[in-house]
Amino acid sequence: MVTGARQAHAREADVQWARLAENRDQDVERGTRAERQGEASGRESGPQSGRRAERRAGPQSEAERAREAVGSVVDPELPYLTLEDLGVLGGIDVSAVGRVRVTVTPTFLGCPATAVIQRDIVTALHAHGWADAEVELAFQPPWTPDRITDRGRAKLAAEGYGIPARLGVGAMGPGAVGPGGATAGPVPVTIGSAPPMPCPQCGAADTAVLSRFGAAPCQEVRRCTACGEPFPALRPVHPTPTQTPAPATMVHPARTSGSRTA
Amino acid sequence: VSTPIAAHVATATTTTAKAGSTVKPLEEFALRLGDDALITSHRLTEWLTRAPEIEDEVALANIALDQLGQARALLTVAGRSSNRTEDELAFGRTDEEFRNALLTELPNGDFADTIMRLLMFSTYQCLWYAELAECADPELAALAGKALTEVAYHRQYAETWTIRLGDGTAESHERMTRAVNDLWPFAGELFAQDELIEQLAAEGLAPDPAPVHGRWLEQVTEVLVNATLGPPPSGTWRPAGGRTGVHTEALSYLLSEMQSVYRAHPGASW
Repeated sequence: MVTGARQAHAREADVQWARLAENRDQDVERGTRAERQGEASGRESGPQSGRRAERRAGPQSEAERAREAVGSVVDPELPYLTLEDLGVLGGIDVSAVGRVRVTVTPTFLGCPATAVIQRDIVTALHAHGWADAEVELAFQPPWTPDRITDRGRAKLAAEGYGIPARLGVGAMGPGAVGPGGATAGPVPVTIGSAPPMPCPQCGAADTAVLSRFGAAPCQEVRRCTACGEPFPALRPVHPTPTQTPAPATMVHPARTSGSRTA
Repeated sequence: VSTPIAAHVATATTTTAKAGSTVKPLEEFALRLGDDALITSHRLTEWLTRAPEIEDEVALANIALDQLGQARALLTVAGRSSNRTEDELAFGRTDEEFRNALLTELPNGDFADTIMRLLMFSTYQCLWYAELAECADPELAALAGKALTEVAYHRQYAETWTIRLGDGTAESHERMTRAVNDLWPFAGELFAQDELIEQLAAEGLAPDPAPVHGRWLEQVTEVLVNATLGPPPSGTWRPAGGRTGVHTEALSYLLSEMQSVYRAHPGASW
């Protein structure tokens, strides 16, 4: 039995949720959909792509056109993001005879979305007039969430995803911030001491891992310790895994110890 | 419903695998790594609908998926000069043609067995891939560097569970102790030296297994001690044969299931 007061409360929550969802839709509308519409209208500039048209007024190379076509393809697992947002696109070459070769860095080797992404890229290139297109996979340098663009980060946050703070180039460069904020030279960051991941709902800094494995290989499940809300998060990926000594050619002046992981 | 693991070893004979292989040494090496990953992946997927909690079901499935991704990439390399696709290698070979270590093919046993095997295997993969990420072959190095970021999570999962179960209830401790004792002898094969490894090591294409084995022993022992399970058993029995195609009967049953669709409909596609 639900009391009247509870029903009223539930209704209010529904209204708030609907409003929130509407705002999010509008955000996404401004981002992804506008982008998709711009692309869907092809090379002819539609009314809302004046800026693009202006940019295209200059000489645009075939490679740039191809990059736009491929970059606007939507990720099948995170449909709020384009491949450009996700940061999985490598080089795009267009040969003199119009053959397009695209390099993609999969987020994880076994990610089932990879095959769909390859297919969607070829389809997008066909739709934009390139009949001869192929997609190659590259594994170096490995993909990390650092490669998600700022726009991609904003879209994910709007969808309620946690995103690990950027660790800097390769997380190994001089000045990279390590556990405890130490900045003494190259600092390996272990998966046991993840970068800060604030709550996408209430913004609190303190969130905990519920499971390192989530709905897709690139995701984990976390919970906010302040508002209690569970949320999906992009999993931090570091070049130096916990407790695995790197090959002798690499230096670890500030290696952290500690065996038990939280 | 766990079968005593040692019983499966009795079927391993001393006959050698078919001679006359024309595969390049680096491809034979990729075949070993790929088969390790493929068989591990298949065993882990057997936990689907049987894991103790939904989170663990998701975790084991994700680990299996990572292993499958690594297997596909490695088998693609392995089949290059013999012109065999990843599918042909995975589904078209007989048990004698598989090169995975025996540890990976043993039946899952209970959750303790599965966790202990994953701890041993993922620690091996972490160390091995870290070395290979620096090897002289750019393609294999890139693959290993990528896989390394994935297997670190597998190891962390296995380590967390090892400590929780070893340092848990009387029953979980007992089951983990049994798992260590049953599985420990099989880990030796992962670091076995042979002609192929020697040849590749001389060319900077594979690590020298002895020092890596030393680090593995250190790391796994540390986890076992933290889990109140250590030190590891001291026996000298080291079953081997997987790298030359002499497997336990457990692999034959696994393959008959894994390859059934492909064998019924050769060459079919979705």
